[in-house]
Amino acid sequence: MEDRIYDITALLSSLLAVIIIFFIGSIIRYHRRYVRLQRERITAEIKSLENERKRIATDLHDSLGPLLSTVKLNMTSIEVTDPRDKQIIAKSGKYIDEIITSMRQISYDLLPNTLERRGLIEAITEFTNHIGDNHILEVHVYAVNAITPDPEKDIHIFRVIQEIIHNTLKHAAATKLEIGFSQDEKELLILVHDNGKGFNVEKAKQNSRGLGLKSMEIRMDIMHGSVSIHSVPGEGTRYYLRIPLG
Amino acid sequence: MSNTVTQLLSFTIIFPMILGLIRMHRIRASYQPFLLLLLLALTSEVVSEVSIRLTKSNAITSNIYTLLEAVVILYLFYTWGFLKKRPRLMIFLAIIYCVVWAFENLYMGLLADGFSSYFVMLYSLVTVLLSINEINSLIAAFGGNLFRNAKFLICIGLIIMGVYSVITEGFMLIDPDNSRVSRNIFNLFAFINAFVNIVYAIAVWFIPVRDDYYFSKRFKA
Repeated sequence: MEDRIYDITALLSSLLAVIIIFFIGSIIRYHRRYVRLQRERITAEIKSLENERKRIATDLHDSLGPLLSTVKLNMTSIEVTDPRDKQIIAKSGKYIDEIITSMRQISYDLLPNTLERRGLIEAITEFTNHIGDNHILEVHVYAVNAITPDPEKDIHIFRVIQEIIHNTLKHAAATKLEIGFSQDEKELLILVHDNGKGFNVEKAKQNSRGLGLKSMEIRMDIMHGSVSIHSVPGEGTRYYLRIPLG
Repeated sequence: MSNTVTQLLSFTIIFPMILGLIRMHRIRASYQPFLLLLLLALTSEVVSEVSIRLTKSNAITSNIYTLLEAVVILYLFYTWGFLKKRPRLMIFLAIIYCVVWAFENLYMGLLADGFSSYFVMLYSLVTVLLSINEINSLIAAFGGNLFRNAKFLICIGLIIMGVYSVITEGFMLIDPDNSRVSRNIFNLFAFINAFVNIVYAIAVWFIPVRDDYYFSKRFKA
């Protein structure tokens, strides 16, 4: 009798185990499909946003820029004798220069040309020079080995680094920031290190109302990469970014 | 099944322990409590073996081990983040563990003469629930192959052991005279324990390397 109880218990337990395993497997499969769809949707949204930015930046830089330069050239070629007219033309020329400068800045903020033309490292170096806070924050960008360009990912990496630099400038009170790149056949590694005051990462993630850290994580997720932040109050902050290749 | 086979199977804990010792300095700090858990299990097996040979009983070792194991598992979930975000739950569980253990072992006097079945059932159930919760959070956050994820494998191991512990302790309460059914369940437990130890060994192999260690190799910092 005991043998029979044991056999039936074992059989029923096995059946129950099979049902539970199938149930959990099914939940995992459908949940992961849902997560994949969500990721694809976010990727499409960000891609269309970047494309729109690119289109506006190109229009501003390639169409409006030359047009305004031509207007200025035509204006300066007008020959006038009245000193008041000369003054007005000079003033207008100055305004046009200011418009061209502002327009270039807007175009750069939307999408730096250097990223496409000369690659990620150059674009980041140019960006750090562009922010014009060299006397506050000394930035050193370096690559341990050659970095293969990937237009699909470079824009996301650029935005993530941009966000880190903004955060460092705004909150870290750092004087030095090092941005290092290293690539092997499997992945691209980026190590960002500042000598600022550091912060409590968990607390910042919970209390953060801004989109900075979230947008950084979303962009890393799109690239199937990971970002890990290590910060100790008083000892600076390290950002470890891993992006798989291929 | 002979005692030798059971003993050999229970000592399979040595495999994840050896792997853990090899990788100890490279793995992330949040996995250190898991290595402590493995060390505790191995120590308990050795002490139990010696104790059985000397006093014919391993009750004291087993009862003390269950308390330490329960606390280390709680600490593991604390370092993984779930209990860190809920410190009150952590304190509540720790207090409940201590009270139930003390009641069974000290008040009821089972420390040297029996096994604290209710305490084992309690902490096994809590461990299973915490593991299920951790797996759910992993499914949403982790995009890679789950069977290559150390946290997932550890949680699967904890769930298997937890569920089986509840079953065996339940049978101990129903049938304390150690009938054939109970003995068979205990025999099967030895195999399940060995299987979980192999799962733990795979988990230790897949424990992620510390970021600073991994990056310093590539950046030569």
